[in-house]
Parts: sequence; C-alpha cells; structure tokens
Amino acid sequence: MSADAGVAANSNSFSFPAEKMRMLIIKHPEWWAWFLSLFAWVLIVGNLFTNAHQTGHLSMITYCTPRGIVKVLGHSPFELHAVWKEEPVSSRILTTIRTGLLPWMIMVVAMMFPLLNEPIKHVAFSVKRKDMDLGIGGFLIGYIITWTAVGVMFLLLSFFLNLIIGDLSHFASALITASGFLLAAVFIWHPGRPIKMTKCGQTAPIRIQGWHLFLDSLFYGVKMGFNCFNTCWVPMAALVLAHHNIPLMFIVTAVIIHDRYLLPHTSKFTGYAWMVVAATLFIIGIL
Amino acid sequence: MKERKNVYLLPAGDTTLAWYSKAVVEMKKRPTTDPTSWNYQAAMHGFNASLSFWRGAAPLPSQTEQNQYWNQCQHGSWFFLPWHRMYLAYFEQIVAATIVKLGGPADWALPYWNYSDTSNPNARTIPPAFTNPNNATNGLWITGRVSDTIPPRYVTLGALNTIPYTGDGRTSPLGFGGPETGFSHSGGTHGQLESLPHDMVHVAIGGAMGDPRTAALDPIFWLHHANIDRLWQVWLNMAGGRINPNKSSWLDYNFYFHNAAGQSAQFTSKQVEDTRQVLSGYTYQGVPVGGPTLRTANALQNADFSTPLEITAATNQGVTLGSAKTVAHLGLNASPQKAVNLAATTNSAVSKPALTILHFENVTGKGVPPIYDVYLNEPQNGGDKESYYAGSVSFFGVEEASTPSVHQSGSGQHYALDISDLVNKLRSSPNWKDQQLDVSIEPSRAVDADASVNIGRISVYSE
Repeated sequence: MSADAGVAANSNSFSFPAEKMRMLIIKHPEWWAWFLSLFAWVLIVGNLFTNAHQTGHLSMITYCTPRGIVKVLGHSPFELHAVWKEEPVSSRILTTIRTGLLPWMIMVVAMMFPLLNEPIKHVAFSVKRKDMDLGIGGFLIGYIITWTAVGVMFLLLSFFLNLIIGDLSHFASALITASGFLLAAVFIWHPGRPIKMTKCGQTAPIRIQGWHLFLDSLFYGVKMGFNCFNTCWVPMAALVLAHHNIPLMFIVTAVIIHDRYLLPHTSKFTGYAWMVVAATLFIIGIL
Repeated sequence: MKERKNVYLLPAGDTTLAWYSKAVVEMKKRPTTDPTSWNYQAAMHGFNASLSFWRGAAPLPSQTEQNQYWNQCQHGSWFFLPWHRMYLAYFEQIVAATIVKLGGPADWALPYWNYSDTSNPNARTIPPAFTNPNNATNGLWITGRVSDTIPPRYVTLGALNTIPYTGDGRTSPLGFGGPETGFSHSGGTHGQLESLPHDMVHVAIGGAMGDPRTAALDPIFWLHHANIDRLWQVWLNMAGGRINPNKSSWLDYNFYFHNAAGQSAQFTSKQVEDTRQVLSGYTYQGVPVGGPTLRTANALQNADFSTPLEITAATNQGVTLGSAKTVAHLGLNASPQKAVNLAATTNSAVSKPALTILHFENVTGKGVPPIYDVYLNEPQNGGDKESYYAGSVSFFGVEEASTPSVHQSGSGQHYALDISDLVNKLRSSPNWKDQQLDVSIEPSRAVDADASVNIGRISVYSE
C-alpha cells in the first residue's frame, strides 16, 4: 500500500463515524422532541427529589396561593389549604392558572413529545434542510398552543370541582382518580376510538416559501395537538385528578408510548392497562 | 407443488379458466357472511356498502368481524407485496377447494396475466374468456369495465430496475416494494411496482377494478395480482442487491385471513417470502425460484446512513385536476438568499444526473379519476410532447384515502416519479431555467362527472 493510500484510509476511518452521526441526526429529526421530553423529565424528577424530601409527597402543583413562597412542584395541597381559602375566588382562579400552567406544560412536553416521531419527520422532510429547525419549532409551538388551551380548561375544571365538592378524603380522592382511569379504559372500547387513532398519523402539505413554512408547520402542530388531545384527554384528565402524581405520570407515559408505536390501533391492550392502573389506585385508596 | 401459468400460454382445450368461472359462480351463491364467499373474499381487499357494486351484498358480518378481516389491503406500504401474496394464496386455496367440490381437478392453480409481454400482441388485452360472453352467464365477466386493453406506457417494467425494496423518495431513494410503514390500507408513497404497472392496470380497466373497495369483485383482479406477485420473484431473481427487508417490523407483522374451511388463519411476511413454502407451495411458469436472497447486515446499515434527499422546489398552493390539462408552476422564493431552485439537481462532483424525484403529496379526491400523464416544461407551441413525458399517476383508491376511517388517516395519497433522466435531458435545452419547473398534468381519458382530484403539494426532491 502506498503512503498516500494509507493516509486516505486513515482519514476515512476517522471521518466515517462523524458522518454517520450527522446522517443519523438528519434522518431522525425527532431527536428534538425526545431531547425536550428528557429535559422535562429531568426538571420533574429533580424537583421531585428536592420537594419530596421536604413534604413527603410525590406530586406536582395542585393548589397554591399568591401569598408567601409557593413551591411549584411536589408540595402538599393540604398544608396550603388554610391560606388558600382566605383568597377571593377570582384571585384563586388566576393563581391556579398562573401557577398551574407551567407544570402542566412541563408534563405535556415530558409525556406527549415522544409521541411525535412521525409528524416531526413529516415536517422536517417537507422543507429544506436549512429550514428544518424552523419547521419543527413551528410545529412544536402549535402543538403546545393546543395543549395550553387544554391545560387552562383542565385547571379550571379541577378548580371548580374542588370549589363545589370541597375537600375530599384520601379514599374519595383515590376513588375519583381511579374512576378517571376506568373511564380511560372504557374509551378504548369506544367504536370511534380507532378512527381517532388513525388521525394521529395525519399529514398536511407544508409550503417551503418564507413565513408560509412557519405558519403551515404551526397550524399542523395545532391540528396534531387536537388529534392527540382527542385520543389522550381521558388519561391526562385522570392525571390532573391524581394531582400529577409523578410515578403515575411515568406509568401513563410508558403506556401511551407503547400504545402509539407498538400496538395496532384496534388493539384493546391499553384498555386493560388502564384497568390495572384504576384497580391499583383503588386498592391504594382503601389502604 | 402448483405452477401458476401464463393465461395466454394455456394450451388449447385447457380447462383452468372454465373451472375458475364455475367456481366464481358457485362462490357468488354463498352468503356474504361466509368467509369463502365471493363477496367476503373481495371485501377483505376493500368494501364500501354505498358503492353500486356492493348492492345486494347484505346481510353482512358483524362490524367487529368487518374491522378485523375487511378493508385490509395494504397500499403505499412495504406490506403491499407480502399482503397480496398471502391474500392470493388463501383465495387460490378457496377456489381450488370449490372446484374439487364441483367435481373438478385437484391441482387447479391461479393463472397470471402478463400484460407486459411484448412478444404477444394480445398481451395487453384482457383474456377473451373474461369478456366474452359479456353478460352474467359468464362467471368471469363483470359490468362496468371502461377498457379491455391497456395502453403500452402503462405496463412497462422500469420498476424492476429499482434496487432497494424500501424507500419513499424523500428520506431515501424510491423503493421497489414501498416505504416502511405500519398497517397501511392507503397511506405512504406508492412503491415503484405498485405505481407501475399495478395501479395503472387497475385504473385503465376501470369499473370495479378502478377502486380498491370493489376491485376484487372483478375476476381479472386475481390474475392481475398473480402477475404482480410473479414480478416480485422476477425482481429477486435479478439479484444485484435486490433483497427483501430484514427488519422484524416487516418480517413478523401478522395479517388475518380465512382458509378454505372458513377458519381464521394468519400469515407473516417471513412466512411468504419463498413461494414454495406458502401453503402447499407454488412457482410461476418460466420463473425459477431460489431461496430468498440472503440479507446482509451491511445492506441495512448502508441504507440507514445514506444521505436523505432534499426538497428543491414545491408548489405554494394545492393543485386541482380537471378534464383539461393543468399546469403547476413550482413556487420559488423572492429572496435570492433563500431561493429554492433546481440547480441542486446536478451532481457535478460525480458527473452524473442527480437522483431527482417528483412528488404528488396529500392527494385527495372523489370517484375513480382517470390516469393522468405528467410532462415537464412542455412547450406551449406544441411539438413532440413525448420528449417531455415524465410518467403517469393513477390515483388508485384516492376517495378512500381522503376519508378518515378505522384504516386510514384521511390525509390522502402520495405518488412519486423518478424524473432524473428527463431533468438531465431537459437541462441541455436552451430554454432550461434552474429556477423554474412547469409540471403539466393531463387526463388520459374523459373525467367522470363525479370524479375529482386535489393535490396538496407538488414537490421535487434531489440528492
């Protein structure tokens, strides 16, 4: 082998892994969403350890007050209850939304972004490579817009439920949460559910010219957010009722990822999984 | 082991088609709820009660049974070939069992229709047994066919030159068998063989054949698909890197059918790769069968790390096709810094035409539109338009793909044409402009009043 050939061979052996990595990143633009999801989980788990140590609760925010210092994640609703009740309703609504929305969005990023492999690839490969990040960014913003609206709705619902029903015993609270997952199980058998599931695979034409690119990606994100809400709202609502219990969040995430990527959309397996979750919560409530 | 024979090479006095006709008549007598009935078998491919071809099909099986067994055909997917192979195998078993019950031979095998045989001047015409007599006394006849003869450009076999099995023309070059998908009743980009000749033959014959929801009601459907199935083996025999996918998601995916006893049965792609191992086994006349070409880990690895294609131009609005020629101008950016242009379609580093793919995305529509012929930069002053012919698209199953259902998202269809050679040729023309591409789309025959096509976006992807 000549010296030149040897140099060329060495050069190839050094550059090949880098090129492979570049190609992997280009071919799998969904890494964006998985990275953001991982980051959200780090935030959640990081706060979990900080706050669980102080309060003994593995939950995200449910109640809080504008007075004094409020921890966003992992605090106990019961310890804040007395202060909270002194506030006027309008102030409590605003506070609920203001302080509840961020944890809600972190939860959405953590749980829902891993479900977006296909729509993200659709956007990424519909536009010029240099515009890929703009398209994906627009899509994710649109997706978050839908879920933000849903979050406001859920937080208000949760607030008024609390206002009407008042404080619940540990058992009643567990029973309501278990009922939420039971409803999620029933929803799996709903005849319209497979159609909603196929809509998770919808695509849309994306224009590649200038600001059209961003807008089309954004609207596609809004649409896909709505499609995801249509299929996932019941377990997400159940999670709100469970005060965003973090181990439960993790289980629900695993179940919906399994449902999205590994099961035919006519499968009832996820229904049984929700039943197991409901039964477990019910038993925990009794104990 | 059975041999599926070329229908045009059946010897004089051969009874294959006569027995097929009798079996069809017999299967049509069975109720639609019977999995071995003609209607049930056809509905496994596609069904829609509102279509006239399905009039009188009731009573129907339960909705749960329909969801599991009906509307299962795989299109725009890497499952297109294995699913239809499975489907044909059980259908052949049911027909053969019916023929035995009627007192016929025990070794009946489905013939194939090789419409691409250039040595046979009649090859492109539906075999006469299917058209004569043209009334209900003939089990092989069906009302509503638009044409008995397929134009030559719609039966060419350029697909056999495609090396990779899998590909969508965006993240990878176009594939012979279709893009990687999950269950896909009508979804991803149609594979090369599926687009031409498969889709073309369906739409050119028209009538029931023109729509996946009724296609399998036409007895010629099964001979057409036997030929497509044969071409899969022909492609494998050509070797040179032609291999089936080796991913578990292709090999192990299960599909459900019914056997000749009417019992539920299932198949995976892995189980049908070698035709000699499918049920009692079969081969095709004149097509040797080796084992499936060995797959290598390297082949997959290399495909995974190849550069994806990149979009170079696209329309900035949807395109509606009508009964006249439609010309779509691919939109370009005003800003020179961001200009989208076709300069990238030259790969000067290797002095060969870069791979250039024309895409028709999110195609929605109604009815059974005709085949549309596509021309690039066709001169307005006439002349030899064939020099500008880029290919044809058939929109087979467009109505179904436009409607969300249990089996599809409703986002429409995707078609792709390899225009590398044509773009390279056009580039040498003095009229060529790197920042302009006009795509002319022309119907090959009159458009039915109830048919329409809307293309969400036309785009060009290049290496």
